[in-house]
Amino acid sequence: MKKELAEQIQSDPDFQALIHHRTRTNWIMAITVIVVYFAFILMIAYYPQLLAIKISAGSEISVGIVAGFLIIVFAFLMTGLYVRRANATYDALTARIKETAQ
Amino acid sequence: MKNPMLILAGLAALITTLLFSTGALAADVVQKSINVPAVTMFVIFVALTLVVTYWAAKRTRTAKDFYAAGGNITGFQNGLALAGDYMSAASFLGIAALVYANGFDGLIYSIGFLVGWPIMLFLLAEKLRNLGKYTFADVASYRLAQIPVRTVAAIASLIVVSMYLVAQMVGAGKLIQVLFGLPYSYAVVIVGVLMVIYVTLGGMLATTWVQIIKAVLLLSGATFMALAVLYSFGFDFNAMFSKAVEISPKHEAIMAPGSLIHDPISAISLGLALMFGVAGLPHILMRFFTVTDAKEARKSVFVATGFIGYFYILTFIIGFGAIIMVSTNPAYLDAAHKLIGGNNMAAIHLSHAIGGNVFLGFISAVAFATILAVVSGLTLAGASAVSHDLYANVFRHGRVDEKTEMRVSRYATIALGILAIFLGIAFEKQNIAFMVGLAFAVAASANFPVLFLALYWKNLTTRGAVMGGLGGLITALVLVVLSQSVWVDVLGNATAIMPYKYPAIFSMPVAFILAWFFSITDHSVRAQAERDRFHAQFVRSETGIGAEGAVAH
Repeated sequence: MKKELAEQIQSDPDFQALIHHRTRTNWIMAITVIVVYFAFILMIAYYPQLLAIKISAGSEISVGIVAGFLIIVFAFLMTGLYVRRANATYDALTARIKETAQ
Repeated sequence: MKNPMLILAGLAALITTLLFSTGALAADVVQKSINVPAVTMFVIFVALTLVVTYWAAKRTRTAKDFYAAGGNITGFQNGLALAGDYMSAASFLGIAALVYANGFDGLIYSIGFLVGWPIMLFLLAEKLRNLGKYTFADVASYRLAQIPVRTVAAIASLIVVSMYLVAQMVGAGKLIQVLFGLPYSYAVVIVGVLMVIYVTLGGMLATTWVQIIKAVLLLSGATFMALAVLYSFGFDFNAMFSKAVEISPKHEAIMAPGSLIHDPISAISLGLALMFGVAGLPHILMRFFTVTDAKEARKSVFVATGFIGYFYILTFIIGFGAIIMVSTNPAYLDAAHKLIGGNNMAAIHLSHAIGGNVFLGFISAVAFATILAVVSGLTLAGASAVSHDLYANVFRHGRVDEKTEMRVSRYATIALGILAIFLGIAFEKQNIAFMVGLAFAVAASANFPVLFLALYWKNLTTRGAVMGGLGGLITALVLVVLSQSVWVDVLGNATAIMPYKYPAIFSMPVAFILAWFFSITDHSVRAQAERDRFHAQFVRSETGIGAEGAVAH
């Protein structure tokens, strides 16, 4: 890409809006996943007995197993949320930026 | 290749003869009767994939076809193929085995393997697609000096690919020995020969479709197994877990974190390697260049995450099913009351407990097909590192025509096939449990930091990228050699020098700090020019303007 074109696109308000919005959301989502995962890992390392607690009296199912399943579902839902958001907002902005650039 | 059909027909005949003749022979020697349904289903799978390879070979004309399937794979197809790359025999049999032996601890690995995917989606996937052409080194070296950055990326890629290959080849050999009654070395040779056929003739298109077919088979088989386990408990999870706790020698302990993770440092270190390793695996990253655009790349991660997550839930149920239906059945135990063929056979024995010889045959054939598909993807990634990065861009400075580059990639594939067979045989008796973990650690410590900084940090220079990449690579390798899994288990020393099991908590920071330090102290003219090029790279990575398009056929 030519430097002039890059500079022109960078000064496009649509581009600035896209970057502002997307960078923020992406980092928030990434950090959320990282925090959830490492909270789980640190629980395993420091408080394994908490994960061993049963979810109710008379049940064999432990908190750890429920947490594990929920993290798997959570990871999937986060990717879904991102895709929905990107398809709805980012693609339209990107298309406008491309149009302006030509 | 002028006449792929003829070559294919010849090779198919050769393999079939090899399979049947040695099978009969081995039946006498190993005293293990040949599993007819398993071999039949495997031969059908191989025949089907060879037809796909023939179809793909006719469509593989240019380098873009060969490396990136012409950029025409849809997001959904790529998602299945990514999931297929990830659902290796190691993760199917290995995680089922971990759950079988330790219960909950198996889930720790599953979750770690999965959570890297959202991170890759949020931070890397679309940018990769917008900047790259065939390999992740294209992206890492986009605004940096081609020769040093590509060389480091290619070396790290080849190391990751080789480790992964060793794990898969040894797994294949052992699996086939037990299942098909074939000698170990024959199994390794069959896998090596078939993958060379897929990759050299059909390139990425064949590799992708072999992966998709296998992913569908594996998901179907695993779904059936999990449903059968749940069905026998009337779909009552609590009843299933209660029964497993009652039967397992560890009882209550299988429902909580156990012996797998000894100390917090190891726990965090494993977590880091699993989470960021995915974003450094060359055969995974390469698939982002096979889709039409960033939108499809995004969709493919969503699809892959869904299938992989679903698959791990299935393996968890399968592991518990094996505790209940396999561990007490003398038919699956040897004289020492251990599983015949080791814990890795837990899922395989369970398939027999559920559906008899025919279903055992199906799952065995699928497990073999899985290995075949995964090694093909690995080999293609390794061959691309050799032909596209090392040969075309480093050795020939990018001045090479497509025909020559493709020819080199085919030679590289054959060389890697031979290497894989050799490594598979050399490591037969070794304890290779650490291999996949090490591959993830190297990917997270050498490839991921360079790729991440190249995309996000304006001030990264060539010098920083090279020092960071090499530093992370060497630290990870050295620490693993000094740790329990190699220093004690392989080399036979009394105590490990490195007290922790996994290196990533040390090697990842080393990579980032070296990359940072050698970049900010780099005041050369070249470094300034590299920093100046960041803006153009940034605009392209965000918008896709100027990105590689798909080719029309």
